[in-house]
Amino acid sequence: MTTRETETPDVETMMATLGYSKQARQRVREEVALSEALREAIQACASRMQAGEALSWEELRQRLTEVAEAHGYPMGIPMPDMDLAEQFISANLTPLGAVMQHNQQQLHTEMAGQAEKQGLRVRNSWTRLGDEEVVVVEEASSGQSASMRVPMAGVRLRKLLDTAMVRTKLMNLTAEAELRAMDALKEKISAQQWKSYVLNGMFPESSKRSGVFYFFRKGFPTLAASFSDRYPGGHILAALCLHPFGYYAGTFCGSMTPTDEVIAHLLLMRADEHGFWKKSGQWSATDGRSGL
Amino acid sequence: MEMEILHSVYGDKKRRIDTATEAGRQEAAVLLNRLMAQGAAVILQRGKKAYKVKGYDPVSDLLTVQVGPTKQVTTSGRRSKTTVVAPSAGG
Repeated sequence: MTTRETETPDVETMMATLGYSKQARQRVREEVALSEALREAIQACASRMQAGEALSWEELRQRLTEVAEAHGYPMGIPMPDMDLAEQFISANLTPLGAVMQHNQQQLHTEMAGQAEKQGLRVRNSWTRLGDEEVVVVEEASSGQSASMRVPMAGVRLRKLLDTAMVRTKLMNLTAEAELRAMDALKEKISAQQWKSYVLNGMFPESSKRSGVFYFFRKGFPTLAASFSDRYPGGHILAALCLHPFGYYAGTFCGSMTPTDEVIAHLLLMRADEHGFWKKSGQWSATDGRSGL
Repeated sequence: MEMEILHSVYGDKKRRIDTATEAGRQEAAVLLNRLMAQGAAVILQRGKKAYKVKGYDPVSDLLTVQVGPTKQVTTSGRRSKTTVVAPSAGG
C-alpha cells in the first residue's frame, strides 16, 4: 500500500502533463492497481516456493486469473513467457499493454521488419517470383542503399519450427485446453465441417453476404478465397491473421490455443465480416506470413 | 443470459446470469459494458448465425444486435447465448 501511495501522485502528474482524457486517466489508474496486485500475487507465490512449498503452473495461473477477475478483467490477462526470445505483441486495449507492445507495424514484408529491428533503415521491400523477398536498406551515415534477396523456403521452415517451439514451451497452452476448445468448436460447426477439421486441420465456410469462401485452419491464418466466374478454380484474396489478446512476433503462435483462435475467426466472420477483415493482418498468398 | 468467455486455457468460463431479476439485469449490463469498453467482441449466436452485440438495456432486458450494415434489431436478453472474444491483434 505504501508503494501505491508514493507512486500514484507521479502517475497523476504525468497524466495531467500529457493531457490525458478522463477516461484514459481512469484506465491508467485501473492498470496501475492491477499491476501492483499482480506483483503482490507473484511475490506471495515466490515466497511460498522459497519456503519449500511446491507450486504448479496451474495454481499460479489460477491465482493470476483471480486477480484479473477481481480487478474487472473477466477475460483474464495475457502473461507472456519470460524465457522466450520472441516478443509478445498484444492487442489494443489489452491490460498492461504498455509493458508489452501494442500494434504491429504493417510493413511490406516480414524481412523488412527484421531488418528494422537490426537498426537498418528500410527504403522498400517486396516479394518476387522465384519465392524470394527483396529488401532495400539504407546505410545511415553515407545514405547508400543496398538490396538483400532472401529465399523464402528457409524462412518458412524457420517460422514453422519457431511456432512449434513457442507453442510447446508456453506453459499455459496445454493439450487439455486445446481439447476443450475443440469441444467448443464442435458445437458451432456442422458435422461435415467438424470431420474436415479433425482430419485435415481446416474447414471451409462461405459468407452469404460477400460470397467469399473462408478456410479456417488450425494454427495458421484463415484463407479467404473467391470462386467467382472470373476465378472458377479459386483465387486466394488474402490470408487473414488475427489473434485474440496477442501473438509472439515472427511466429503463428498466439496467446490462446489454436482452436480458440479458430473459434474467434469463425465467430467474427459470421457476426462482423467487415470488422474481421479490418482487424486482421491481410497477407498475400506469396507472403511467408500467409502460412502457405 | 448465458455468456461464454472464449478462453479454453482457463477452462469452463460460462456465466449464466438470470436477467429475470433486477440484480441480474444490472450485473449483465455492468459486465457487458465493461467487456465492450475493454475492446472485446460480444457475439450473439442463433444456430449457425451470429450477430455482434452493440448494447444492452437493463430496463427492458433487450440486447441490441447488428444485423446489417445499417440495421440493428433488439432481442430478449434472457434467452440469449453470447460468446465473448478478447480484443484481437492482426498478426
